[in-house]
This record gives sequence, C-alpha cells and structure tokens, in this order.
Amino acid sequence: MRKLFKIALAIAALVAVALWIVSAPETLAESPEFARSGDVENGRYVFYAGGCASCHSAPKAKGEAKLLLTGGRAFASPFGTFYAPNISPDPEFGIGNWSAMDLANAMIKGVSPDGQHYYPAFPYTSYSRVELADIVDLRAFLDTLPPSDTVNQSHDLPLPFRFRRALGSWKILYLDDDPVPVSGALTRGQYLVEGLGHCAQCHTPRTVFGGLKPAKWMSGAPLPEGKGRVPNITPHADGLAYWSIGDFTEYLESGFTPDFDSASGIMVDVIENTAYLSDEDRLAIATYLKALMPIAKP
Amino acid sequence: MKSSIRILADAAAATLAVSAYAGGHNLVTPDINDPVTLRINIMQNVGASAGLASAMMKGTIPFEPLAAQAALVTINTAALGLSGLFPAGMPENMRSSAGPAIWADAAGFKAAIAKFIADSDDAKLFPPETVEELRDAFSVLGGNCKACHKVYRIKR
Repeated sequence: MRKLFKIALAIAALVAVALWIVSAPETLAESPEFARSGDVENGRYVFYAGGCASCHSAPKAKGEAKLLLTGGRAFASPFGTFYAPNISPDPEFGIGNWSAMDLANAMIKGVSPDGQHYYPAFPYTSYSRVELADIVDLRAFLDTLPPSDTVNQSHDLPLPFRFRRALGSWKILYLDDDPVPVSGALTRGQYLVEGLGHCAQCHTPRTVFGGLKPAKWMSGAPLPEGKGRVPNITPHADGLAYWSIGDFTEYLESGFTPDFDSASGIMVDVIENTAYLSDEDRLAIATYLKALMPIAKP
Repeated sequence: MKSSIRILADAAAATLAVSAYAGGHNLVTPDINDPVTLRINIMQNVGASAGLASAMMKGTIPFEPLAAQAALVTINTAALGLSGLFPAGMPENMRSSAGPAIWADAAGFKAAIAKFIADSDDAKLFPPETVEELRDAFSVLGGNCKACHKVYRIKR
C-alpha cells in the first residue's frame, strides 16, 4: 500500500512539473518593427477598429470622455467578474512605461510585461492576428491620449480561476493565429474557379510571354483567336458590379444574364458544364466571383 | 373590365416592365437605315419575352396561358424578322456582337435562322396551358439561342 502511494505521488509530481513547463508564458521574438516610431494616424484607426475605448474607458463614459482610458468597467462572466485595467499613458497607474513590444506581447500572446498570463476576457485570442506594424502605430496613438490615475481593480473570481499560470495550458488549446476558415462556399468557390474551372485562362489578360497577370485577375481579355473580347467578371462597374449572387447562379445554370441576353461564343460550352454542377457548387462559384477584387477592364 | 382583357393588360404590363429593365441597360434607338440597331432591338425583345417566360416558370408571377403565348409569339416574330438584317459585305462593327462566322459561313447561318423560325413556329402553334408545357417549349427555343450564339456571336 505504501509503495502504491509513493508511486501515485511520484506520478502526480511528474504531471505537475509537466503542466508547469507546458503552461509557461510565451513571448514574441525581437523585431526591427518595434524600433520604428509609430504612425499616430494609423494608430488612431487601429484604436477604433480594435474597439479599445469600449472596454477601457470609464463605465458610462461618453463622447470625448471615452478617450480617457481609466479602466474600471466590469465584465461579468461564468468565470467571475473581470475589471478592465487602466491603459492610459500614465507611467504609474497606466501603461505609459510599456514599450511597443510589451503592448505586442499583451495583445498577441496575452502575456504581461512581468511574464504573467492575462485572462482572455482581454480578447488576445482575436488580437493574436494583429500585425506588429499596427501595434507599433497603436502604441504611438495611445501615448497621445490623456493620462489617468485610476487604480486598477482586481478581478473578482472564484478560487479555481485565480490561478493565472493555468491559462498557459488553456492557451495551448485556444490561442492561435490561424485564419478561421471562411464560409464553405467561398473556399469551395475558390477551388472550383481557380482550379478545375480554369476560368482565368480566358478571363484574365496575359503578359507578352503568355502568362496570366494576377494583378488583373478575371478582369477580361482579348479572345485568343484575335477577334472579340472575354468580359470582365470582377465586381467592378465595367464588370459585373450589378450582378447579384442569384444572377450569377442563374447565368451558370441557364446562360441567361439578368437582361435575358443569352451566353455567346465559347461561353456556351462553359455553361453546358456549369449547368451540370450542383446548386451548391454554382453558389460557391458565385460567392467567389462576388468576393473578387473589382478591377477595371484593361 | 372583362377578365380576359385584364389578363392581357397584365401580361402586356409585365412584358413592358421586363423589357424596360432589359432594354434600359443597352438602349439602342432603332434606325431604319442601320440594320445593326434593328437586330439589336429584335434580340432585346426576345430577351424580354424570355424574361416573362422565366418569371412564370419560376413562379415569380402567376402562370397566364395568354401571357405565355404572347412570349412565344414575340419570339416567333423576332425569328421571322432576322434574315434580312445581316447584309453581306457589312464592315466589322464594334457595336455589334455579330461574329465573322455569319459571313464566313453564310449558309450555316441561314440554316440556323431557318431552324429558329421553324421551332418558334411550332411553339406558337401549341399554346401552353401549363407551366410544364411552357417549360417544354422553352427548352427547345433555348437550344436555338445557345446553338446560334455559340457559333455566330462574339463579345466585343
């Protein structure tokens, strides 16, 4: 019995050590980007796109007062109540003495300058995708805001959730910067159009060497035979800006445009093929075409 | 108003509405001296009829046998009017999507128009009483659009 107990203890100790190692805070590598002095105007734009004031301004603050980032707003959750911190440029009560790299580690890795994990009430699992350049610019903009001497309030969490180190393990499961897969239709549409459909071979202009010009993707080209043109099918005013997704799927099935013009030339062959596809696949193709960069016809 | 007159009025209004939309995008004033303008208008009128028929086949508007017949008659009229409008020796015309094959393969083009006349004539002689009959008529006519446009039309 004593031997079994000792073995169990040893295993528990090993597991604890393993968890400790695995939950260590990860920070960013040095980057020349951090040495750049940020662009305040872009930083202002990033500030609004990131919604910083909405959480970090004082509770009930409105208008100009939302630029005083005192913190203090409460966020109730199933894990307890979190209080947003002061992120004004005050060097003592705010983040005035943070470097751009500190801000980047907080936003991208969820780690404080003294190596503690932040609670993901701070949405670093989204901010993990933010570019370093935008963070450097944000740092510059935050420095222009008024300082606040509001003291940070501690989060009000039940005992099990007070152990910050555990967030390191949580991050293994939930922190990444992979792009979230977009709607199935767009991915499938990309596969069909860029791959099997080989639409760009006619709809994209070529260089003198006969290669496709990606910057002019699907914006139309001369017919290879010489006479006539292949239309611009990007959502540009000279292309198909005014076609809805339904117009595309109808055309791919029947060959009729929204004006009930009927497909011409080699496109008739194409429609014979797209008419064979499923409704979902025609919808996928339409979704992709509507998502293209609008480009003027050459 | 007698109900059949009302139905025809509805159908006429629907056709005009569809053709106003269809024509509005590429309005070409018909000019007796310019066959290109005449044939463009004829084709746009076919488009308007196709639009009317399509709306009935999809159920967007209620099926009306008289409206369906009006669409088929319009298409027949278009087929009948096409043959004189592609005079030989016409210069290459940037506005026109008539392809060079029309003149290079004049016999084939004439045969295609003759088939269009024959098919649209058949359709006209059997007024559709149901959506299914309209669909059957249209699948034959649609085949004409496709076959001719594939060989004789070119975008510019």
